[in-house]
Amino acid sequence: MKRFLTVFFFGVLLLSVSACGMVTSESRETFAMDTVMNFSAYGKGAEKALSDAVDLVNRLEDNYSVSRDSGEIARLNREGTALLTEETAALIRRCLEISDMTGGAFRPDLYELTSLWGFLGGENDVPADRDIEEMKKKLQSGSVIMEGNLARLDSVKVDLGAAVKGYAGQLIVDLWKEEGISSGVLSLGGNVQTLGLKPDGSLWNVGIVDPENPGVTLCVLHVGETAVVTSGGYQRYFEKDGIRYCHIMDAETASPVSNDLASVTVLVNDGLLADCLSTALFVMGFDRAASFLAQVGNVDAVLVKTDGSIFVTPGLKDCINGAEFEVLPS
Amino acid sequence: MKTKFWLLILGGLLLASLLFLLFLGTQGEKSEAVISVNGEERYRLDLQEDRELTVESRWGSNIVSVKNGKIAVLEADCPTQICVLRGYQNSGIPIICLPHRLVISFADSELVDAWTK
Repeated sequence: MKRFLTVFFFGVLLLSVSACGMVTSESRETFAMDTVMNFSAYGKGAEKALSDAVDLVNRLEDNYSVSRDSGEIARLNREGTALLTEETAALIRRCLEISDMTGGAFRPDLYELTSLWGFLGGENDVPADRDIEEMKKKLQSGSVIMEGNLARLDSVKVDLGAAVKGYAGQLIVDLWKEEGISSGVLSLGGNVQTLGLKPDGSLWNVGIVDPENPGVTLCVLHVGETAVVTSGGYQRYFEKDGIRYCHIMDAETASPVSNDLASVTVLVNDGLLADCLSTALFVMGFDRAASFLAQVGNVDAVLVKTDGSIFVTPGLKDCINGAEFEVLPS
Repeated sequence: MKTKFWLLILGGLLLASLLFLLFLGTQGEKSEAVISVNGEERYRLDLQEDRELTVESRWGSNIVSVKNGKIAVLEADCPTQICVLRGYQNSGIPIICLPHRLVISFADSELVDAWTK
């Protein structure tokens, strides 16, 4: 009897251990917004959660892509003035707030600048100096003006490319919470958003890709529920006469960003904010980015300089592995 | 009787831990790559077997090579060539050919939940 009980006990133990690794997990790889996306959801309802996420991303792309003629952004750019839906108006207002907060390092109205350098479907080339000067002046005075849900363009056009993937990640996580999903991870072309903790209760491992060698993991962050978004000059660029021009634009110079940063990774809960801030900090360059982070205080970030050195905000010093780094002043 | 009983338990535990170690060992050696197109698995390749194959889809064609335990995209009829520039790899960050919706991921790609780039 005693032996039977022992065997029974070990049997139950074994079964429960293996059951732990058997939480329903569903993953989906999909292509949207000119990038590859991976969604994973755990637990009951995961299958439906994934289809809903794909639908949501497609809906946002239809409405916010500058090249989808039927969308609100394309219509606004075409007509110059448009009465927007509540959701779109709120999104643009939030982007303008973040633009102010970052001193214009992030801007939602750089469609023409990005086009000028051929990054919105055209041919990549260095524009004539005269065209760059003209664009600079245009961007100094131009802006998007919001009166309630009525948007008016003053010599600029809207491109939410630096915000929409982060916004999508945020919306999916909010939707999954409503559906009762308690654990999941999204990658929207390198924009990562986590929901809860891993099914076994441990932290998520998010790798930062080495800007110098995009096949290598530079370091790994151990995080709870958050957005983790990186901006860098190494993902999309063209080269001319030995100079590399990246796809992220600096409105002040009306040219692609060229400074001492190779990539910036931002960690905040709000996916839209993370997306916009990673772009903004990358545009700022190391010194301005470091003082911005010290000033706002509640944003975590990893700054990788072009010389390969890594700097992290104090909040991250215990959750980063795999590389030497320095801690930024708080 | 009692000693025999404990010996049995001890033997059982020893066997279990041996099996577990063996399991860990094979996990580490497993070098496998999965090629998917538009989110659907197309090939599961043992990286110990050298071969060359062409992956065709409505988006385009990629020539993939497996050599000396590693995998690479040798040629792609796309303008960016980003996947070709990655060269031979056997672990970690998936190789992606965005215009052709082709992704090559590795057995250990799952150690990291997601990459930010």
